Amino acid sequence: MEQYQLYTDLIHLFLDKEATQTETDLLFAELGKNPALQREFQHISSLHGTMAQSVQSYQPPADLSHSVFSAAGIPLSSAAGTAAASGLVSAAGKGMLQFIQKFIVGGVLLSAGAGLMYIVEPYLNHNGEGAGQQISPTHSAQSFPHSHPTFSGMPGMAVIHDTVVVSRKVQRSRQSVQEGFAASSAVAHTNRQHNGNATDETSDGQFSAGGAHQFAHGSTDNHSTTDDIQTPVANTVTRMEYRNAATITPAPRRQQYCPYDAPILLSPGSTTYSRVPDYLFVGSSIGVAHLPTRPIAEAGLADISGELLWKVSGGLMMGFTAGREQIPHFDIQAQGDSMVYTQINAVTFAGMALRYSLPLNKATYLPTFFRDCSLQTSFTGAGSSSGGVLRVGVGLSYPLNPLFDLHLGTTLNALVFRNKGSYQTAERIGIGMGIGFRF
Amino acid sequence: MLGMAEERNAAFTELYRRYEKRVWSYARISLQNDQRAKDATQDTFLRILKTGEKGATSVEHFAAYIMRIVRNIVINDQQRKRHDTVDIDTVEIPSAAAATYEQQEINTILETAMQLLPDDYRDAFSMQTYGGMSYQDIADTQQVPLSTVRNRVVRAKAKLREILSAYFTPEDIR
Repeated sequence: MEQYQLYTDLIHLFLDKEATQTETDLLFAELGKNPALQREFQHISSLHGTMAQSVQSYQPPADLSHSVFSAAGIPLSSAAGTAAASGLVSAAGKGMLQFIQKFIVGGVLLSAGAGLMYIVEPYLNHNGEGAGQQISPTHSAQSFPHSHPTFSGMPGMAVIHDTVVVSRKVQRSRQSVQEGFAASSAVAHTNRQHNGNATDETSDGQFSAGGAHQFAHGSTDNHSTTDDIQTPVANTVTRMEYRNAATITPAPRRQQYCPYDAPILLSPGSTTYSRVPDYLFVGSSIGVAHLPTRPIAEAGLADISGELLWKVSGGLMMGFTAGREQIPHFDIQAQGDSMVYTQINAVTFAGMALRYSLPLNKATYLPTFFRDCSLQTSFTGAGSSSGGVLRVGVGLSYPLNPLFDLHLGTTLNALVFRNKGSYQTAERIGIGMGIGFRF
Repeated sequence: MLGMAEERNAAFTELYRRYEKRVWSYARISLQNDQRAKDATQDTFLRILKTGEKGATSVEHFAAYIMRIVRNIVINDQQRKRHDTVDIDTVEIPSAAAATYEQQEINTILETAMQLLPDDYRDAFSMQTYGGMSYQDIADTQQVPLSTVRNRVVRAKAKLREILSAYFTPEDIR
């Protein structure tokens, strides 16, 4: 009995993030083999969740600020609110400045751009249930063999079907968590990956239902595979989700952000695609082009384009694009005995775009800054009044903050146009920059 | 001079923004009364302001410092109240602004359950849960060893669970 109380105490300590490494190891070693303790873990997690929600409900009265500031003789200004509101802008500005300082050499601003990037978080749906559950990034399709990646989290840990995800905040306990779950062996082939959440508040108010689900399988069938237990898994998780709905406090948007976010590769059939685009990107570049009719290249050619993209799979996105680019070309028309040569400097185009984002977070040989970035490649096929427009772009995307991404890259643009009965091309190469918002 | 005053005001505003909810929650849960919690919160921030004006204090861990202040104010208030007669007007059903009716019910049960805890346990629990303090900060504030705080918080939560089990089945609070 004393031993049992020791473990329940450890559960409290763990959920309060006050357990030492040794205590965490001890707790999870026992959890892996003790079904009763697993249930206890569930109940205590629930209690913590209820208390966390209670804390959230205690909002100071509206007139408290007025009273305090009046008594202090300080005019109640909107400074705080203004600061909070401007925080995003200032953060973006600061990040951009740092970026420019690093990359713009010789004080030459190669290009400037502005854009918007809206990201609708990928929401997964399993038979209409669990919609709105956000899945942690950094999972491969193999992580979701049954296409119901339902999960819930407790402080520091989330369980996504058969994938244990441990936040960096409690990385110290990752090993023990894995061991604990490995002991249950129902998920022996589980991919264990990190959830990038790094903020304190990320897991506040959350608790684990998936954990019990994991434990339960470990205790009931130590040799089963995930295929064997597909149906019970789905039922169990769905039931727990319903209960959790009353007590889980959704993590604030900011806390879901991580610069190491990798694209999510979803298993077929598990995705509910939103009509809302996942990305809206607008960028611009300045480039140079060689004009066949002139002995020298023409420089300072600007373009601006936008892409409205939906996630397809992993880091691959597809959508629409439109823009205008300066890509000098010529048109020759026969007028009587003479040929009239007309130079056209710019075209407006619209078409389809593909963009692939490859996170660099696993490239440990790179400096930290670059590991925060993702490598972006884009391809555009569009039509214009002059002909077909092809654009290929390569660049880096750097997350300034939860809402903003900064892009720097180079583009190769080609215009295929018909002239005197034959197809000709005009090319242009540019380097550009864009800023995006995440929605 | 104007610049200094503005700086002071800006600093105070920022501090208030950061700690208002924490101070309020702790005061409210400890005093069980909106008006007294408001007074305690106001007194806490005024004391911070006065201390800052004296310019003599160097605070290493401000969160623990401000929680220590509000705790002292709360304790004084509770001691004073014990000698007072109960004014019927000040008796109120515990409420939490902006909380749903169901949440208010849960809060009421939680607050009632907390009253059944020993003072030290309740204090440690309130500081940890509603004041957002770490065990170490609580140990510094209560001037007891860390192991004592660990014991108090864990025992408080275990006791609360025991009490709440009469109201919630495990399934209910899952």
